[in-house]
Parts: sequence; C-alpha cells; structure tokens
Amino acid sequence: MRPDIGDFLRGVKKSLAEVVFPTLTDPFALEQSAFIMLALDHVLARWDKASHFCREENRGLRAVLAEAAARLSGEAGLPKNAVGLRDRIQDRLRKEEVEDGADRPYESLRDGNACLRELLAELVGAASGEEQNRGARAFMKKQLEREREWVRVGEFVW
Amino acid sequence: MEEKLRAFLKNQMPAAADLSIRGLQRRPGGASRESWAFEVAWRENGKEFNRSCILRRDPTGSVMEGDQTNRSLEFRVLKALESTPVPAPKAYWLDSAGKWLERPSLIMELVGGQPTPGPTFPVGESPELRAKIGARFVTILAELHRADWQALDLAFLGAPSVGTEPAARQVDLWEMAYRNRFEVHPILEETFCWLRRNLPATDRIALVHGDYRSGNYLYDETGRITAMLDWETAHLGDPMEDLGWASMKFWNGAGLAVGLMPRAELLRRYENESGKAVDEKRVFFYEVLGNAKMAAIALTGARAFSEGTTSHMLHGIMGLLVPRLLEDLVDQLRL
Repeated sequence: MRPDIGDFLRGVKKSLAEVVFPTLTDPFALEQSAFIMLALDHVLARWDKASHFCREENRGLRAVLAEAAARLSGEAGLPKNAVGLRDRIQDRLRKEEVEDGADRPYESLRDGNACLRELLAELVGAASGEEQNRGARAFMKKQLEREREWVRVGEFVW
Repeated sequence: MEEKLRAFLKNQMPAAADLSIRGLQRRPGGASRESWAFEVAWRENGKEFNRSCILRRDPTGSVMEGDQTNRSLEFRVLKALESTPVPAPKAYWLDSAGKWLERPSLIMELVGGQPTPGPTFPVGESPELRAKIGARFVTILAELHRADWQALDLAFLGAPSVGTEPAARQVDLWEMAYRNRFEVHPILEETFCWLRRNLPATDRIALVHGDYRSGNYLYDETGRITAMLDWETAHLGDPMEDLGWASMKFWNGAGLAVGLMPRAELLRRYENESGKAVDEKRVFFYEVLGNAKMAAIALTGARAFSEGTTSHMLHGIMGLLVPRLLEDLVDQLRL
C-alpha cells in the first residue's frame, strides 16, 4: 500500500528540509536539524532490512552458542558455574526454537538476540583459554563486519 | 529559564543591584552537558559589572552519569586551575544540587576563541596554524601534568597510590558505565578482561584532564589556545592516560593524532616538554581503555536516547559509532 514507510520517511525529510528547518534561527535547534537529517538518512536506508539484519544475527548467535553448549556437555568434571551456564544456554536455545519463524516480530527477535548476546558475553568471560573462545571470536568479528556495514550509510564522522 | 537564572544570580550576589540578563541561548556542540551562553550585568557599590558567561547544566539524560562526572568537581578544578599556566575558563557560580536551575549547574567565563568543529583539528586549516596549535596542545598538557595538585587543594579528587591503582580505578569506572549499558558487546567483555590482566603501574600521580583532545579547546587565528574546556572528567591518575586518549585512532584526522601531529611526534614532544619519559606500553593500555571508555559513553548516550530521557539527537547517533570503536579494539588486541 502506498504511501509506504519509505514514502513517508522521504516526505518527512523533504518537509523538514524545505519547510521547517529554513525557519530555524536558534543555533542549538539548527544543530539538531542536521542530526535529524542524518538519522533520517540512516532510517531510510535501513528500515526494510532491520528484520533481516536481526535474523542473521540470531542465526549466528544460536549456532555459536549451540556449539559451545555441545562442547561443554562433552567435558567431564565441569565446574558448577560452567554447568549452570551450559544449562542456561540450552534453555535459551530451546526458547528461541519455539519462538522462531518467518513471522516472528522484529522486537521479539531483537530481545531474543539481547538474551543470546548476554550468554555469549558470559561464555567469553568464563573461557579459560584462547581455544575455547575461537568460535565466539569468529562470530564476533563477522557480526562486527555486518554492524560496520550497517552504520556506513549516512555515516556520522564525528 | 531566564527567571530561574536571575533568581539564582540574585541569591549569589545579594549586594547586586539592577541585575540584568541578555542573550540567553543554548549553544550547539557538546554531548554531555547543556551549554547556554548569556551576558549578565549589575551594579554593586557604585560600580558597574558585566560578564559574558557559559552556563553548563546537567541534562536529563546524557552520555555520562553521576559516577563519571559532576558539576561540583568541575567547578573546584576550574577554580584551582586559575593559579596555574593552564588556560581554562574562570569558574563564577555553582548550583551544585540544582536547587535554583533545576539540575546541577555551573556558570563560568565565556572565553574568546573558536572550537574545532569535531574531535579533530580541521584538515583544511593551514599547516602553520596546525603546527602552532599542536605545539601549544602539548605544552599545556605537560603544564597540566606538572601542576602540584596537593598545593592546588585538589586532594579531594581522591589520589590513588602509585602502582596499578590509577589504571584499576579507571577500568572500574568505565566498566561500571558499560555494565549499566544498553546492550552487551562480547568484544567489550573481552576488552575489559584484557584491561584487568594488563594493568600498568605508574610511579607518578598527576592531574589528568580525562578528555584531552581537539574539540575541547578554543583557539584563535594566531595559534593560541585560549582555553582548555570540559574538565568534568578530570581526576588524579596516570599522566599517560591523557596521552593514550589523545592518541586514539578514533580522533585521527588525516592520519594525525587529534588532527594535529603524528602520534610518534606527540609522544616525543611531550617527553621534551615534560622532561618525563613516555612509557609507550602504558600509553597503549590507555588507548585500549580509551576505546572501551568511548564505547561505554556512546552506549550510555544511546540508552538515554532510546529510553526517551534525552531529546539530543546526537545521543542516538552516537550509538552508531560503537562498531568503529569495536573495530579498533579488535585490531589493537588482535582478537
């Protein structure tokens, strides 16, 4: 249905640029208007890709955590905290599986990723050696490349 | 706002008559505190007074919170700096609890000069001006670190012991800021683990600016730095911290540290000016900490933006800077 979200965003940008901002004289408001345009450029370039971006991260997080949980399950004599972490990872992965699906709302995906990130961070902090962090690091670097690309459009260079 | 300001100033100067405020206007620039410019005039004992002022006020939501900054601290540091060669605005009045101005605020001198438009010296400026500003930038830093903080009555800042305590305190402070963060970043988790494993020891405690870079000074066309600004994160610590912060790739402009000179030259000049050896390992540590600190600041701003406690658009946009900082950390720590 038109106008769609992109149409509206372009319309808002045009109206602000041609009607609203030229009337501003306050220096702080003028500075804000430049940031608003930058934010609108970012949103315009990314709004319809946000769900896909989140889904990709979700897939990667689940893979790296499943691998870590499997490794922890295979280790004998694990300390109590490692057992606790492994169990929480497995619980979360089960929840993610239940909630997964093409129609999963964006905010559910985003919140799911936040939980998975917390577990990955805990895993990284608890790892006793480089070897155990290899999978997590590979994921983190790949995710970072994606995030760098994500913010490149209309990039704010401070 | 003007009424509140007038009431506050009347309270601060009971003997002032015909007190008037002109041109009160919020100024652009700065992400952490609100900055308002105004002129105040009054009569006292038959004399007329006129001051150009900057009001710095805590915002409702920001990139830094109470543990990392407060107006009373900044006010006392500015007062202390008045008797040093370090150029800084004069501190005039303080509303430490925000009783008069809604939120904690300080009023200081409006110093002449222009700021750089960002955290790096502009690429388009003349090489001569860049060289002059660069030289002053280093000289002032050496003067700051030479300042006798005990004689200046700055012990209230809490002096750490020599050794690893200065580094540990800063790691604690910024890790805590990160722990209150918006979202977790496993690269920052690894970074804070690395920082804790690699705390460097210092043999000297100095007054540290905490945000020493382009964007935080005013300069004029003759190449004079008229004032160093933004003392809100000043503390007692390892002088290498300011060098590490100024060396961060994040502030590079045209490959120059804070847009002024190559990193190696910055360190060499500092050695010459201060007469103290630069410990590159410690500088590197503080560069790493600087990236983590800046990421914590950006995440704090992004959280304030997303939770709606700030209307400053820059706070939201700062969240988009985090991947660049993480990329620098991956390079530095070879993750």
